[in-house]
Amino acid sequence: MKKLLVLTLVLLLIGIGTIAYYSQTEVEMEESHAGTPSFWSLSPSVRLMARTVYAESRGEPFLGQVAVAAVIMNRVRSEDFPNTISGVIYQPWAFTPVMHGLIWNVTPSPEAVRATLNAYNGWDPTYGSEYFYNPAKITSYWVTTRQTVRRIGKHVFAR
Amino acid sequence: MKKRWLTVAGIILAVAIAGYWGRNMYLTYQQMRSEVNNRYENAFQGLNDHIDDLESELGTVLLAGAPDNLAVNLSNIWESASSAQEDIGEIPIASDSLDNVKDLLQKTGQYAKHLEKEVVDGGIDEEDREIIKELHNKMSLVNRNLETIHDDMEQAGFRWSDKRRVKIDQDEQRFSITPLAGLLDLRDELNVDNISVKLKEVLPAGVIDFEPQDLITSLSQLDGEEIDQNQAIEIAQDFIRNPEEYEYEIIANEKIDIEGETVEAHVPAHTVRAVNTARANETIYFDISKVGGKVISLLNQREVGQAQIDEEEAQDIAIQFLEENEFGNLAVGSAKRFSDIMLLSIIPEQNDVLIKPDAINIEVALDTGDIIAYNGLDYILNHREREDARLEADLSLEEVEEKVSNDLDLIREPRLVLTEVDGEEILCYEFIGRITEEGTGSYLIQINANTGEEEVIKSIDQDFYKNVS
Repeated sequence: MKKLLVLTLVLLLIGIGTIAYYSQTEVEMEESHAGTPSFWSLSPSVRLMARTVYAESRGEPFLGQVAVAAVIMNRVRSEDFPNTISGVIYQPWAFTPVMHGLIWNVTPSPEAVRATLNAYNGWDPTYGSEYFYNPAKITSYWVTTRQTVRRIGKHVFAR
Repeated sequence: MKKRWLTVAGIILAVAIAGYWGRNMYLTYQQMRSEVNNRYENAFQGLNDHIDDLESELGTVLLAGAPDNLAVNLSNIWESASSAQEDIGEIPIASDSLDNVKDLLQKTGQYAKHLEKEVVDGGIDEEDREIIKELHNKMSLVNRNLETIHDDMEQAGFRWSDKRRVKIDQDEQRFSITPLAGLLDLRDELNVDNISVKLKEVLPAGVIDFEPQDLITSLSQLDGEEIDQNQAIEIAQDFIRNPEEYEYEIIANEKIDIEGETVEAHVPAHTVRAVNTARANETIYFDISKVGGKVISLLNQREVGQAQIDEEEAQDIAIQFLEENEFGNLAVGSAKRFSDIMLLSIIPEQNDVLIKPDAINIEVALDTGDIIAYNGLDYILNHREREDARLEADLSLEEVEEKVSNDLDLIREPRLVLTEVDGEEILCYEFIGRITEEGTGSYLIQINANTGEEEVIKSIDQDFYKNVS
């Protein structure tokens, strides 16, 4: 009798636990930088770019953030990629944080916003690179066949 | 006894809840999956359609007699080519899988755009006809191939959503057995070299960029001697105003260690990092060209506080900074403000003509007036003494002014500029203004100072800001 009761309770708890676990969004929330007026005065496509830059390169040196943003701009200019910022960013499987929806849970830091604008206005520490990757995390090695330009922080930039 | 029934009921309830929830999740998942599949399929279908359109539009151009029919079809071609390019960007395949199709689309589009400008009256000549025939052939080849692939996919029940981003490659057996392997055959069959050669013969320079500028090569072919790391640090110190406030180090970037493998890096610059000794979170990064020792860029990582100086002052500071670094004859080309940062484009002058291809970009922090970013890449690559004759206008400002629309309210004195149009430097009168009465949006009009033709007309708003506030 008692066993059965315990079993029921356990089952119920597991059920509730699973539901509670899955109905939560799995992404960690970042502390948002509320009161960054500059971010919200940007045009939507530049905001999208700033979000992507921030999600891809938070914790990287400023130079590395400008470099990630510059790769996006280089892709927009390249004939091998879509011709708009949103086309490049939403290209299937192009940017992991975009794929997982992480970009919507963060508000870019003022530094990432500045990095985005620097790249938007022509700064390019990657000298025309269209690819970047984190060698510690990379799963497919085909990007390594490209000419490596430089490493900044954790990211390797390649053309 | 009652208790037992309660327990049984509890278990049934728990299972029912879990089952109901699970079914809902499954249905949602199925729905999402098919939605993803539909979107990918739609993009692929769109590519098929646009290529199909291109084939018939190219055919129509070959046959069209009337100039206005010709013009309409040429602009259709340009539009279809760019739609097809967008479609490719939405298909989940690795970015280099359809290289030559992209190449073909880009060339077709640019060429149609060029013809449209050239043949407003009069038809196309024999040479152009040949090229269009060739493009038409290639396009139908792509069209046939894509249709076959599509047939195979449907028969094999291929679902895009089953795949991650698809890399089609002979080495990757996984995917080369799918219907998409047809894309591999397409790549082998479609050769666009021939067209490139022909286009190069007929097109004026700059319409299509056949060999896009390779920054790394250009920078390593600069005049001057190779410098070492210590010289790079000295150059960095000379460049800024308060060198004593920083500690310098070189960030080694010759070799990169990638997971135990050493890879050679190709960056054409020494990177100097300068950390402020008083304020630890202020770091400047310099890129200094290995050949010639020129400062390519400077980026200062620091927060910018409340603005203390005004925009005029910032312009003076930027010019003065450049003059201290031995740049002469400078004018402010454009000034945009973003929060407490002023972004300036500073342009060298020769014989009172602004040499736009040599522009230097500078950011001034409005709190202290520090230069927090500098980009001298264009100056380094392009700057040289232009021939005086190239900077003399045949037409006077008065003669050209008549051609500018009355709807443009000038906000700045017209000036002579040397500007790059389709890869060629052209002397123009530049008019900058707003549309009368409406008052929103600034526009730039550049009129050729020798022929009087309108070369460039475009909006020059601060496009990184949104329009509503």
